[in-house]
Amino acid sequence: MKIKIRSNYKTALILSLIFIISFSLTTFAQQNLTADKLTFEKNEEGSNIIEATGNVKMLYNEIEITGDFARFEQANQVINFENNVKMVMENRTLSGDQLTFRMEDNYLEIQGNVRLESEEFTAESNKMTYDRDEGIMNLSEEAYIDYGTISANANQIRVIEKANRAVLRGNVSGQQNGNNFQADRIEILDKGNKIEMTGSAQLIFNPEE
Amino acid sequence: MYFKDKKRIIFAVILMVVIAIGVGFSIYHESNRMSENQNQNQNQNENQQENNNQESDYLKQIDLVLFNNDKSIKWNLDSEKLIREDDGNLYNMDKPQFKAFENDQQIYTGQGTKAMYNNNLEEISLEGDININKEDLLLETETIIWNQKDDTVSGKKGVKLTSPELVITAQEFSGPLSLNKITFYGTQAGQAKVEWR
Repeated sequence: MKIKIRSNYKTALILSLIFIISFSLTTFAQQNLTADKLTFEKNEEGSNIIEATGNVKMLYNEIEITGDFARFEQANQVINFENNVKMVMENRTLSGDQLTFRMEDNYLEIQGNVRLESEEFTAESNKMTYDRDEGIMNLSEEAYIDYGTISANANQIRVIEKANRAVLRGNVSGQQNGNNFQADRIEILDKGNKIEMTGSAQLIFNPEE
Repeated sequence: MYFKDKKRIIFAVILMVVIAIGVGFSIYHESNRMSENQNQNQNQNENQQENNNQESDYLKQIDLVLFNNDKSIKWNLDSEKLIREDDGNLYNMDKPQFKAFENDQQIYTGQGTKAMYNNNLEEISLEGDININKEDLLLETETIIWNQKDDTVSGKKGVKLTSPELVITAQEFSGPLSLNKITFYGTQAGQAKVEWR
């Protein structure tokens, strides 16, 4: 009986090791950058700098980022993409002109013609930051969101993913079910089915045709 | 009295003619033999001279020192055997090993299976399983060429750069002789790729 237990224990140990090694290899393989041209050099601090040009594609865990050019600072774990940037993650697609991804912080900034498409909403702006650990997006500069039944413009839009809500601040104007509204601040709740207006707010009901 | 007999006179004349022919032939043969010996000796001397010349084209344990255009970087290229060809335009080397120095500081070392210096093209090319060690970097390739016109180094096939933090694989690479900045190229067969830890 003891022999059988020991045998099972050894089997479990071997299987666990195989699983851990396989997992490690898979994780390693998923952190890579491909391009037509890669330039490698060390900066003054001795850190590896890689510049990628032409059909650049990075795979980082479940994230895929493509662009025309990228610069990777390995010591800081920061990568900058430029021109025709597209990021695909989970069920979202993010595009723009310039993207900075801080891998250790799981944080990214994207600028220029920013567009985010997801199952729940679509957003546009000229600048966006995204804290992936916290699940918080901040869109600014001509920000726009189409969330459920609501579409609106604002100076700033903050999307809180975990709470399924968005907060719009500054010169908010938009539509819900064909009715126009204006406000200093609104909150979109319940995946876009409900809004709360605060501050100076105006709701204009359009008569049915 | 003896020569009163005509037959004996004729016999004596024939005998003298035969002796004269024999002596003449001996002298002729001897002179031919001597001239042949002289030719042989001359040929032998020439062959020996050629052999001596060939021996000068075949050298062992060679240490070459090569500089870039601005003399800031030098290569000490050592090989077990050097063969001079094409009137000194080509130098072939076996098992070359090189050390690169920038301002007397060693910047990298490397080795290959064969090397060739082409005087006309101003190129030094190495082939084989080439490994270049630069600080904590290892650059592997099957061929490299140092173009002395612009002091660039390029390589093809099986290009791989390994550092403690990352691995780059590519089809080709190029860079300055210092190898401070290396550009890796993909081809239709595959893109250049970097994986990191």
